[in-house]
Amino acid sequence: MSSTPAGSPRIQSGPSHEQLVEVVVRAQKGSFDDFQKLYDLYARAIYNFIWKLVGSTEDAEDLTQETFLKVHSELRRLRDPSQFRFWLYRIARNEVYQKLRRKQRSSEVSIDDEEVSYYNFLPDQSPDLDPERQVLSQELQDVIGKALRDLPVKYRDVFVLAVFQNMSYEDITKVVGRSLLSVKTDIYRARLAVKEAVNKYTRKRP
Amino acid sequence: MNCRKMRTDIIALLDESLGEVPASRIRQHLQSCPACFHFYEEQRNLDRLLKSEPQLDLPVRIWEGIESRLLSRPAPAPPLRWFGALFEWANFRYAFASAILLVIVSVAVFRVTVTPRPEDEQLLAEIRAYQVEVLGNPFLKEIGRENPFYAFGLRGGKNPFNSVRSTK
Repeated sequence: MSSTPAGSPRIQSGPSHEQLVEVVVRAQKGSFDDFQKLYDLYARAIYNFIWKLVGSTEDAEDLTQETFLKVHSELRRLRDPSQFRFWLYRIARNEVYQKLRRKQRSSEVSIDDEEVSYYNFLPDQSPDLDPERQVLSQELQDVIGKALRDLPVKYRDVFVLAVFQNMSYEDITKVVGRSLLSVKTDIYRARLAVKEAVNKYTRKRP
Repeated sequence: MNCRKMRTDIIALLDESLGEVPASRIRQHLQSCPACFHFYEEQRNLDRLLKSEPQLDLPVRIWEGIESRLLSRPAPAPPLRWFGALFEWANFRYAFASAILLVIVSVAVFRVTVTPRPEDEQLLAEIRAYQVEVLGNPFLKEIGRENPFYAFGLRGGKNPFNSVRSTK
């Protein structure tokens, strides 16, 4: 588990926008090395994005793989290389939606199933926390995870993009294809729901 | 100011997705409205809580799976040099086919309408000869004026395709 917190600053280190576009163009022409560079740049963010939406690392791994396989096969159809990042997130989001629909159709684990836990593999190992606080932290993480799972999918994806992927609302509209007002409203509702879940938890604690 | 309506903008301010002018307006409002300021503080604390959660590391097996699946795929057929590469360009393909079709149709229409066929040229020569003959004969000229072919500009007026015509 990495110690890098979610929602890192919007100004990312790495290649400049122009360099990134060049990498995308070369990957479009068939350069496998450049495709791997794109994977190295974006895969972790995509993996975490998918994980937040589906709540399972196994599913997140499969879906991340499917996302990048689709990127590899469809990359030539991307008309504007500068929009690669939004296009990538759209593919990832669509893969998640398809997975969720398949699960619901086959009556497998539902997206709202109580047994699916985001955080049962993530004990907080910080040496500064005493065991009781570690348990508290774990419980709170579970509460947040459940609150995310309980959100309608259309609130969940914009909320995850805004809070955990640190994406601007304008960029989010390019990913989800909804208006700015719709995105703002859905993020607001998602925050209220998550906040309410956290409040309920803290009220129950002695 | 309607505080309820401003809540979405307060969230947008937290998410750094508000323009400078509305952001400045919100900040001013927060300084004067305790309820909205309390809401802002609550959401900011929630933000800190959410963003303190660490991200997962990327499992190596994801790339290994991608690599093995891509390398096991059959290699695509090489493009046909520059023309094949051009033809593979998805958008250009359809435009190119349409342009070819347009050129073919244009040439065909041009040849049919502008350039007479040899048999048509012969017919035209006969019509011209007939016109000269009619023009030169005042009696036939009189008949020509009552003939419907006169309306189409044939000065002789007589239908050159009919061998017998009734006259006045």
